[in-house]
Amino acid sequence: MDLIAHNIANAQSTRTDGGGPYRRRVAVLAALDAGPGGQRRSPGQAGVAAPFAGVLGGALAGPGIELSGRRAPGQAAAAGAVPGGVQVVRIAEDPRPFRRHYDPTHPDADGDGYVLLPNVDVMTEMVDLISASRAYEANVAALQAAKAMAQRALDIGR
Amino acid sequence: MGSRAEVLGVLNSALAASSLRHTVLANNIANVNTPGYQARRVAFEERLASALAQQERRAPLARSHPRHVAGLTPPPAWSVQPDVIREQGRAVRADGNNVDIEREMALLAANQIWYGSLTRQVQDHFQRLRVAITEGRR
Repeated sequence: MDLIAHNIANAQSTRTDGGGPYRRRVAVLAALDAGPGGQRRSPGQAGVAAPFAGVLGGALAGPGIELSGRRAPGQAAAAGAVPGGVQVVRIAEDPRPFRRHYDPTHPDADGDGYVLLPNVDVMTEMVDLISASRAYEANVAALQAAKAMAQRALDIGR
Repeated sequence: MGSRAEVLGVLNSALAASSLRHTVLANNIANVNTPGYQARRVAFEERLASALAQQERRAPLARSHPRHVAGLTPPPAWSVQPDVIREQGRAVRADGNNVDIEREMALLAANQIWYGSLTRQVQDHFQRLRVAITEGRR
């Protein structure tokens, strides 16, 4: 969502520090898989800290990891590995070409009078924003469910 | 099946499966926008049902010699392990992702209720024990 806001804010930027118009940024996502022993693999270059939901989920799934860790050697570890969330692998730039707009009066116009505008389409960004918001709310719901389940477990023996 | 230890063992095994299922569902939700991600499921109920069915069918074979096969004893119900499997046969979107967010949320809610009912069973189990110990007195 931060990247989308950044893209929308720079939808008309014809100059950047590196020269040329602003280029749309996209987050590249990858799924995180914990190993069979339940150990979380390192997040990678993006350096995203483990979110609380992941830690809580890992703590709740503790006995489950130990129980399902003992499996026949022939089974594929990838399918049976306990999942560990998602990570941002890197922030990539959209390679699609810039938009060309004819405006000779613009300070950044080239010799033919064309200005290169950023390859940001506000409609696409808004749709992505809605999708990201819905995913965020769903993750919050999952976290609330984990909290409620932990509270119920604490009631045992009371 | 009815001994106190077996009941508690099965409940414990089911609680572990429910926790694992929550982790897997939360992971599916977290990866709803990850390209190429396939939703995962936890297989437990089928394994438990088949373990219980095997226990009921169990009949030790009579043998005339110690080295004859006596019949395999099926694994006890409380040792049934949950397993994480890839979901097959679901529609895949353009980015290769097959996570249906509505389905994940519904399964999450159902799992939460299941977890609550299991903890209630464990609670009642100990409550009955307490009543037996105190002979009904408070």
